[in-house]
Amino acid sequence: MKSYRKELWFDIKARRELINITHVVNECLKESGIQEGIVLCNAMHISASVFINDDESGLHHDFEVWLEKLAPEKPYDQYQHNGYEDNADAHLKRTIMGREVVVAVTDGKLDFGPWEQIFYGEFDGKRRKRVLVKIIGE
Amino acid sequence: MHISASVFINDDEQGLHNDFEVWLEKLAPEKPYEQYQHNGYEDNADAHLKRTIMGREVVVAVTNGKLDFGPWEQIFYGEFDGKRRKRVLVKIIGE
Repeated sequence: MKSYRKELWFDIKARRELINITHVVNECLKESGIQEGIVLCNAMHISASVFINDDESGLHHDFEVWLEKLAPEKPYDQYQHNGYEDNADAHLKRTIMGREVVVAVTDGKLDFGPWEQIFYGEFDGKRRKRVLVKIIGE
Repeated sequence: MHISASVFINDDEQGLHNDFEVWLEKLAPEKPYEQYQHNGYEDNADAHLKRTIMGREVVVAVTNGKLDFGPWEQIFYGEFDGKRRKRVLVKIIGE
């Protein structure tokens, strides 16, 4: 069984942002030489997400509004977590959006439906953070 | 394989399924359609959000040729924007 591992680095200037990383994961898959298997792509931080959804900017705005409604950033002191930190909302937001995606690899390609795109969701940015890509198969 | 549908694992109990429907509608209501910026030409923004709550996929262990489940685990396809042909992918690897 072949195995491939890569870390993707991000340094998002804003507190929150969604980044399409599908092309990067595709590059990783090509590099791995794996034709049949699975890809695990996960955020290596507990205040960020990797998820699959639509690459449409209206929807990304809807996600921002919706996440802020379900798990608002402020006031910071509503969260017991926010003693020394201020990112409790990021932990909750990422719980809604998900930690990782697992994607099938078939014939050397990501086995997607018509509109699936992989996103890195940053909810506590302004520092260097990582996504893990792990691919196994043959 | 669609970004407006889910595969998830939970209880096969219809009361709970009704609870899921009510709960999802509370968290990400379908209407009014225009509350969502996504809904310019489409009307399924709520489906993208609902599927985010319910999850895109499940990963299940295979042990001795069987799905390695607890007593009540059942796999469900959750449709949140139906009325057209849609797909689920099953990929199994191992030996």
